[in-house]
Amino acid sequence: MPVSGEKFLEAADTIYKKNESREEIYYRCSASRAYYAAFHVAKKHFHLPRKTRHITVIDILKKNHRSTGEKLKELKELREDADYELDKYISQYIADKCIKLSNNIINKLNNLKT
Amino acid sequence: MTFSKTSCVDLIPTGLTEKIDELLSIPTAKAGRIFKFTRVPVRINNVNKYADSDDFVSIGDRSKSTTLANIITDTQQQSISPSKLSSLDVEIHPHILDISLKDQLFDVILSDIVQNTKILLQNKQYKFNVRIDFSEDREYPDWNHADVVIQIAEEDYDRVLDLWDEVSTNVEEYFNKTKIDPQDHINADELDRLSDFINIRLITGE
Repeated sequence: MPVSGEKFLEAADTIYKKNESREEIYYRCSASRAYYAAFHVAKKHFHLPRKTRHITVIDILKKNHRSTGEKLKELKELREDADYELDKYISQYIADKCIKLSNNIINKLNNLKT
Repeated sequence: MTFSKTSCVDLIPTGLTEKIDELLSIPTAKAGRIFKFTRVPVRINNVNKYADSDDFVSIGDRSKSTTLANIITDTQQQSISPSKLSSLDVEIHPHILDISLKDQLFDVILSDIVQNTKILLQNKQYKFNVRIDFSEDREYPDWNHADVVIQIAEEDYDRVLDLWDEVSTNVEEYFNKTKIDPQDHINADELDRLSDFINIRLITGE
């Protein structure tokens, strides 16, 4: 069953809010899902092929709307920290920041003309 | 390259040799400033070169030699183009400084962007700090950027994101204006390359 990019953001938000025990692993998962939400929405917005590199999506977005491309780059780096830098502390604040970044990017994309 | 005391002194205009002798005679602990950047432009036999502080080690210890290197840099401002960027009161990644010394267009554009951004934030009465980082992608290191990192004293991250839009719009307008009104035959492709390379980041005080 197909899912939209926005569904990833809903998942990020749910994981974040249900993390009552404030376990870091869920903040990591939330940050990661938040990035993929924005990435998929951006890729769809520009009708890019499935195998388009992440850096290409960011470059195209930056050319169309500078700050939104820069924000996606920021979110990508936070996502990579969350998924790969296991010794680095991923706080609730960072997860919250990722959700806000993702939401902001998706809103901007929805207002952008293709 | 290695410089002896004599060859260094030869690089310095008359009148500064006493300053150097004084520098070399003082104890290490009082040797003066420690410089952020060890790569400095020097001019030897009318050829512009770059020297590391290590090149001056034979003169004395490192702090003295970097001080000496800086004196040389200061005295060369008439004969070579110093980095405009280095004159700004911001922390700069050594690799970015290196690029700015070699690429004058990059130096001027990045300096303008930093200055314009500072003015914008000052007008909004924000407390902020600016630094320039060099970032490389983990998977594709060739995808790298000069990051203008603005650390802003604002707790509301949604406001930070709005401010990010304003700063980047300002940067985009600067590039568009420079393209429409080209000075010194600036190549549009070069401007596009720099526009891609320069990246704005707004961070909070975390």
